[in-house]
Amino acid sequence: MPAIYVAGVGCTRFGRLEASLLALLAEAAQQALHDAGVEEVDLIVVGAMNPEEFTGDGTLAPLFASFLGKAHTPAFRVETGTSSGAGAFAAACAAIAAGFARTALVVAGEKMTGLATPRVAEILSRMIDPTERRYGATMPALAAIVTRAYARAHHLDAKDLAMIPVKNHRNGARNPLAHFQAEITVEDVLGSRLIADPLRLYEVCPISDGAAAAVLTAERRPVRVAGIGQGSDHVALRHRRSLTSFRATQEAARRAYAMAGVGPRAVQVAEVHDAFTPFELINMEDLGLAEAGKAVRALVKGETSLEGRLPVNPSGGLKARGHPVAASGLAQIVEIVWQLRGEAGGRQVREPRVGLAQSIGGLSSANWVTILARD
Amino acid sequence: MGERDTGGGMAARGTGIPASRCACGTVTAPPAPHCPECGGPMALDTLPALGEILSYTILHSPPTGFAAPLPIALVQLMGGVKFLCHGHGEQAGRYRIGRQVAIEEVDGIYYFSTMTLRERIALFWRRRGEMEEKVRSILRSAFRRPRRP
Repeated sequence: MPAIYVAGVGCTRFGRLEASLLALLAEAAQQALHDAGVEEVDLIVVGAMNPEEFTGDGTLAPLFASFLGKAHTPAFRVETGTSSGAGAFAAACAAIAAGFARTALVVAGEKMTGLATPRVAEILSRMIDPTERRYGATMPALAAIVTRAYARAHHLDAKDLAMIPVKNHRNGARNPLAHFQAEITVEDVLGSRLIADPLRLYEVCPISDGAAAAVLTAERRPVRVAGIGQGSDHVALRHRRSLTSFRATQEAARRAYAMAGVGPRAVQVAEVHDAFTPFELINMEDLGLAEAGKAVRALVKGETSLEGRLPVNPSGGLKARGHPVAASGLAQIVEIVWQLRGEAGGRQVREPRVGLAQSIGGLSSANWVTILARD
Repeated sequence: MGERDTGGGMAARGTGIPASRCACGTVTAPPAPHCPECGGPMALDTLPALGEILSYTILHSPPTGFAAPLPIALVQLMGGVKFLCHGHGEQAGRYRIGRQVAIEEVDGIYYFSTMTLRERIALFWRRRGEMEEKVRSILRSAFRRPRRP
């Protein structure tokens, strides 16, 4: 892939917000354009999972371009479920690599809190195989089935797993954009109500509004897109080879590392998809950041905390930063850019040069891994 | 009708869960027209309505139309096919990964039931025709756990 650089980034506050989807997208986009020092772009790529149902907005890409005052700039939308933001980022990179554009604006967001929670859950459950959905399977239900299998295979107890949201809330408390900015304890996690046994409320990400944006360019800038990979898998859980790892992440990682010409050892900071917090451990193992069954050791020893050897989810992750679904994959990339540029404020990790973002689409049927480097 | 008679009777009569089989060796339940692994055509097949719990959840916030708590399990049928089905709430305390279950259909929806040791022994002797497979399955479930890291 020809060299592609991140010229600028932006991100709104995540949470229960008043602003419309278009206003959120525009806020993030204007920040990214200003950060890049760019006014015009050749292409706009919009990531959104389901604006038709969440907000009633259709043909979102031209609608947004017009809202931004760029109605005549080529614009299209990318959808890979909950990883749509990372998918939009990859599509923009591909367009620049192919010569379709020299500078592109990527923006991704979702406005979810306008609907009641059962309705949001129903819309999200469309990512589940129809046969499994017929049995009442929801995203938390399938995630709970995976969590129980993983915990059993590696002898983890509820206290081990509860340390993940505790760490991510601690990071979120240092992120002024996070949905949740309060620390929690292991007792809070274990005392919260069961959503889908063994997953409790504090192990499941919130429903949020928000948007993130990035400007990509073929012109040299400090942060380079080193590698991108996608991995896909059966939507149906019953067709999966493994219940304790995600093949889609493993294959996305293999492709991204090959493109970047580095291995997992080069990664100094990572943002991973912890919509269900036990997935943070599975993701680390699938990414090669820990051996199978050993990610919990890194967590318990503090290696994945802000001060540790390999900080994971310094932003607070999807759990604490929030999860406006399509926004998350791009917000992870924005966080890595801030970390590489040393602009992450109270949650800055020590001078990383290589960072990785991993985003899960559906229950790991369309996953992306993006590796960024500071040259 | 007791769960033992339903599960055991089904298996003894050779009726069970509709499935489909591909020339590549992939088996899916419920049946699919195309193989999810290779895309090839699939032929209809029937699997014994018995298996072991691979993993499960008790869903406390089920979607509209379902009552809480809703037990859902991924069951590994004999032969290795994974199958998603419902449980009976009152048995939830007996669910364990690796537990053998019988599966029955009610109005097009499949439910698994845990089996007591006595029921499993009774079933074992009634299924003489499939003895070899059954012995392998019992050995597998007996040895799998201690071998895990």
